Amino acid sequence: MSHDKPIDISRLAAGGPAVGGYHLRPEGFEPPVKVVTRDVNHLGESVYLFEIAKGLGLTMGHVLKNLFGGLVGFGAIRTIGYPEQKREIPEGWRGKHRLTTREDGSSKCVACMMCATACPAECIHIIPAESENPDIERYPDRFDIDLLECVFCGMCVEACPVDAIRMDSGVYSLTAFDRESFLVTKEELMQVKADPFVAGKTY
Amino acid sequence: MQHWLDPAIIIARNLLIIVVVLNIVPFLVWLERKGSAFIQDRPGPERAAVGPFRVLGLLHVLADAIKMMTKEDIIPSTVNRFYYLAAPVIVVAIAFTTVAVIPFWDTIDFPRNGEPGWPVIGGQLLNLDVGILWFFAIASLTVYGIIFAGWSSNNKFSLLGAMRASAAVLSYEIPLGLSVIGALMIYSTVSLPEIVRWQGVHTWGIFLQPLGALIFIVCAFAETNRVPFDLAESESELVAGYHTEYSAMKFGMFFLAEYGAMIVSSCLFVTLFLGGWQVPFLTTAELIAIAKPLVVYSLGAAFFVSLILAALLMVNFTANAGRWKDWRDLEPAIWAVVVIGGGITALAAMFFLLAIDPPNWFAPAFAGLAQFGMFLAKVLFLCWIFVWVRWTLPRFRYDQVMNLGWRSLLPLALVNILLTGLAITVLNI
Repeated sequence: MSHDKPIDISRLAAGGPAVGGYHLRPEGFEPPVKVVTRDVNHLGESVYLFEIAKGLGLTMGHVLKNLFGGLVGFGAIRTIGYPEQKREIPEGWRGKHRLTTREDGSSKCVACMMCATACPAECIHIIPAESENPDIERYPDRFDIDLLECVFCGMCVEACPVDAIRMDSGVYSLTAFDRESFLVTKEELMQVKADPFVAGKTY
Repeated sequence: MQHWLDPAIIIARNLLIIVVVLNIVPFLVWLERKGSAFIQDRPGPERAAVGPFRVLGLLHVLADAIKMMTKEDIIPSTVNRFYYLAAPVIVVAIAFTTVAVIPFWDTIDFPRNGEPGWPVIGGQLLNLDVGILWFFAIASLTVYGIIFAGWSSNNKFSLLGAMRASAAVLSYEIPLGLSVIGALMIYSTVSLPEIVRWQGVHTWGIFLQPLGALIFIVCAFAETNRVPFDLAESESELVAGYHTEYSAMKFGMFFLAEYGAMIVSSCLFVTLFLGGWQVPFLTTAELIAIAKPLVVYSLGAAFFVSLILAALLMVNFTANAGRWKDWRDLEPAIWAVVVIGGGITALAAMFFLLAIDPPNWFAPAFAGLAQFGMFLAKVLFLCWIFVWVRWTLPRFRYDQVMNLGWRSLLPLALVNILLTGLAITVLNI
């Protein structure tokens, strides 16, 4: 079917015979449209009382359930008392970044700039330096992530060829009193620990 | 009979009533928060704590009061200062003045030295024969406070809120007054204590005047500017309505007045339609006669209730173990101990009462307190209905409110008067 002419929507809905030379609907086709009329003069509703009683019954049901359920510890309330109780984060959840380390404690990062290139938010800032170890060649002199710009997409983790950056820390509450604190350095990123549950999957 | 102690007794009685009524307000604020939370499947206030005690969030109200008192109180430079400052005073004063004519218990007298009738303690602050008329006269003055607040604030939202509030209050005053007339025709008196006594002898007003009671409570919602008729402060349209420009305790006074109006409306409804201080099936004389066994049984029942409550609290304690990971986890257990302690005290009091012959003042005092308690229970139930309705219904549109008031409630109230009059004439009551 060609769409070189704009289709008249109103005739389409009405199941008209031909639009732009084409039969969009077979003759006699009734479109599956349910027409709903508002019965505003329905007595039971216009008196309000019965509807109000129904509504009151509904809310009272919640109150009783939560009152007696809450007293003995079960009810419909699913609220989490946040600072003390924390939501269980799912496996593979992307939290604050961390830099993995070699056995000697240095960062695995070889400053290849893959993560910085992959980053859509351009929040990774790496200054590479030449390593004295001939097996490593490059290492990041500085590796800063601006967490305020980060969108937590995980592209850096995907891009890293040496598994140097991961987002399996499980840290989701990133709070500070000033902006500078969100600019985390290589040393800080190496301090971040992996969350054993989150680390169960790839990220 | 005059006695040199009479003024002191009257002052003590008045203080008791005023303090109790004023203290319903914070309780209602708590009820509103907790009730709305439970309706919406939330836990509600539960943070403010003194040590491990959070008392189901009651301490939040205390924190609120401290906050209101200590906040910066801003008076905008463009307001008309006199009316701006007068408005909250008027609103609060009137809300609580109307409590004066509400009878809280039957007049009780204490027999002394075989000579009956001293002291005689009436159940209301002001025993007026025109009780209910005085109530309506004073209650309708509230609208001055609202108009002063809205007009003097020099703010279009305040003004609109005040206009709406005054329109709603004036419109609903008429069906409110008319809805009562049917009941007054049956009681043949406007004295509130007499109305309550009549209901004790016959039956509660709500069974005789269901339509009147319904119109009354709907109008009471509108009079107190509560949802579904809270278009005076409809916060989605008018910021906060007539008290937009008020801060700190001046706002707090409007807040107080709103709940005060709720309480006095509930008091009046209870007095007119729910038998006032009447304990169901028990007259004052009967209460005095069976005071001792009733107290004994109640104390015994209190002991068993405390056992059940303590068991529930212990279930709560185990179910919520480790929830907070600090001393708040212990709170249900501590309360369980307190409740058990109270139960044992009640049991001890029961045995003590069984062993002694209670003094003469015991039975009348108990009757008065029981009636006071029953009255407060009824009022709190009514207040709960206010809260319940508020968190169930959406707000009416302004024209819907006017339609309902003028074209439904007013004719209904007139029909109610007509039917009541016919019934009285035909049945010759």
